[in-house]
Amino acid sequence: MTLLEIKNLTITFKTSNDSLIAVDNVSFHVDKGETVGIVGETGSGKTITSLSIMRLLPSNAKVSGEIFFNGKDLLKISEKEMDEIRGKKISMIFQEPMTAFDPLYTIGDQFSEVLFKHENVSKLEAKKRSIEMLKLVGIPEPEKRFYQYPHEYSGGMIQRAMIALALLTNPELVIADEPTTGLDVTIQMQVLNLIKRIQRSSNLSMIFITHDLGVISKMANRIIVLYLGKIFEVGSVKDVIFSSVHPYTKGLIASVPTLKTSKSQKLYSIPGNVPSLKEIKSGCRFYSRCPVRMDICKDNDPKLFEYTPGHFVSCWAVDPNRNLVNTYE
Amino acid sequence: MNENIIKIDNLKVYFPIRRGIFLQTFGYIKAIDGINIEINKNQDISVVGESGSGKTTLGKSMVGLIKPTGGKILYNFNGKTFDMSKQLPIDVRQSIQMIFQDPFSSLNPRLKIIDTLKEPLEIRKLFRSKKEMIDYLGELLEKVGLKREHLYRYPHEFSGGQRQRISIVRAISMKPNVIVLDEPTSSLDVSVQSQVLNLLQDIKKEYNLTYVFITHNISVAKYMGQKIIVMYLGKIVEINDADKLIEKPFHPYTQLLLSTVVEIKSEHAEKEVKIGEPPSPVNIPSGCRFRTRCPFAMEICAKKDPPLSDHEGSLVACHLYSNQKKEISVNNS
Repeated sequence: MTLLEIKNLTITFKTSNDSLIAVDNVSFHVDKGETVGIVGETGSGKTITSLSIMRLLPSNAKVSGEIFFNGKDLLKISEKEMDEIRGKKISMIFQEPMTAFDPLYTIGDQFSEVLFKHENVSKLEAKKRSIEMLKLVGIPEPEKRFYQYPHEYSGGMIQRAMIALALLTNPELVIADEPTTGLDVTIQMQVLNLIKRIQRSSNLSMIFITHDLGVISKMANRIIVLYLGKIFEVGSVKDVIFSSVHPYTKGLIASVPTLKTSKSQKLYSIPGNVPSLKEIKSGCRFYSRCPVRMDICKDNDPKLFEYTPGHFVSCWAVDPNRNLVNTYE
Repeated sequence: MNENIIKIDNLKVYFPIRRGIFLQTFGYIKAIDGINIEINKNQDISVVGESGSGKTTLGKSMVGLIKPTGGKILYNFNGKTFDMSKQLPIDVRQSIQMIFQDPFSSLNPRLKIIDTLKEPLEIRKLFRSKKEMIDYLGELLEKVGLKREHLYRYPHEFSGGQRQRISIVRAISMKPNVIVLDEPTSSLDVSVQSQVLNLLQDIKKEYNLTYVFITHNISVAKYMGQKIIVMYLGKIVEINDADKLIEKPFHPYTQLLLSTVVEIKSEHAEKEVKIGEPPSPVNIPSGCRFRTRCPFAMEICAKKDPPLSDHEGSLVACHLYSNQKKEISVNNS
């Protein structure tokens, strides 16, 4: 069953003399109990996409398209209705938990606030449920920790508290935006295992955003590869990581050094830098860096098509329709 | 052939914890607590460990940015040995360079790139004319994949990868022998990381450099270093050749670190490893520091700190492999 369906999402930012398209015609869905991973580098629009689902974008962003959550278009409902969904039905795990929590309030205050807002519970009940949740994510002495401030938690513990906060209202969808970036590898493993365990046991739907391909291959059922606001490839972990088709996906995977990489071997690197949104004109966004570019790619933007069942790619090199495009128009 | 370029002898770096209006010392954070390392010329070393293991402090002490509390760092330059904690001649000092982790805070935002880069060259008076110096810097920028005209821009005009390239130019402009790199790629995107790592490898060959590469990513450590040093709470727990250490880690902590590497693969093991968190460096456990998290902790581990000793070609600090363990078990029985 589909929980979230995004159709033709386009997000434009107005600057003083220009408008930049940060997310360009993106469509995807998240099924119940499924984890969809979004991979992309800086500027790919992965965070912007997730903020648009929560309707948390700054006011200079123009959003078009549709975001259906349980059949309701989140872009059309009133702010009051959105208030009831945001934080209750859809919650978020942020990248930097130390800055995401308010340093002036205790963890307990911040947990209780969420419950007071969404569930109309008594103070005692809120405390009981918060402590239960802290216990669930493996925080030792939760009764004592409830009264502590964020700075009294260690890095791994505060990220676990962040996860507990996101799960407090039994949401249907959790968006995790780089939840383990900046954590030590050992703590990262703990946090990933915790998220996976909770996701399984309560049949949560998740959007997991990261730039780490190893992490995404561990966490996701399906993967979306974003580049400068466009979807380049979508499919199961097997399809996207092990039989990737798009030259960008292939390049990303090849450029990560693994334990098996030998010292004498040169790492693959995608030539050039990610261009800025201002530099994009017509044609494929990867054109300037692509090792297999062709004439057609320069002026014609490739469309996402079904390469094999469930595996979508947007690249002219494999697109059977490319002969239909007249390049001399 | 294998001359030592750096010899670290029982290095200790303690930071005092001060409290109250008179700033009395209440105790010490033992960031580095007695380590010995010998680094040979052209033998790259990678240092890995969690945050709080003292790896950055080690790097900073090597370039003389932190004065050791005890012990010595001896640096061999042109056949003479210098103590890094003393005041050194400028050419000696400048022959060990450092590249920092965060390229956004390690370049002065108010200075143009040229002003940042020319400062050390002017102090040394290496060039007769300004034009010569600009030519030299322009050439270096081109070598790392930037352009000459970038000299006249400010740091905010560059991306993270480009800034890290500028840091590389700043380090190699003094023609150093050793470069200490403190997590130079951890804040970069994946595709940029591989570009920078490749560039570092090329530059190393061209300039005949020795790298000390500090990182928390074991895969990167293996790619960049011939030897890997594993640190835990200010002590070395294992030293071995990179390939051997990955293939056959001896210390339980090295094993733990390797088990937490999330690799790109289709099947991920579901078993939960008991990982735990490092204790605070203010209250270091007695005996072996790792015993609070160690799955093999024994009685002796609480009493005695295991020394680094040779085990099948690896230097390991663990009672599991020391002969003492056998003696004690004999005594007990």
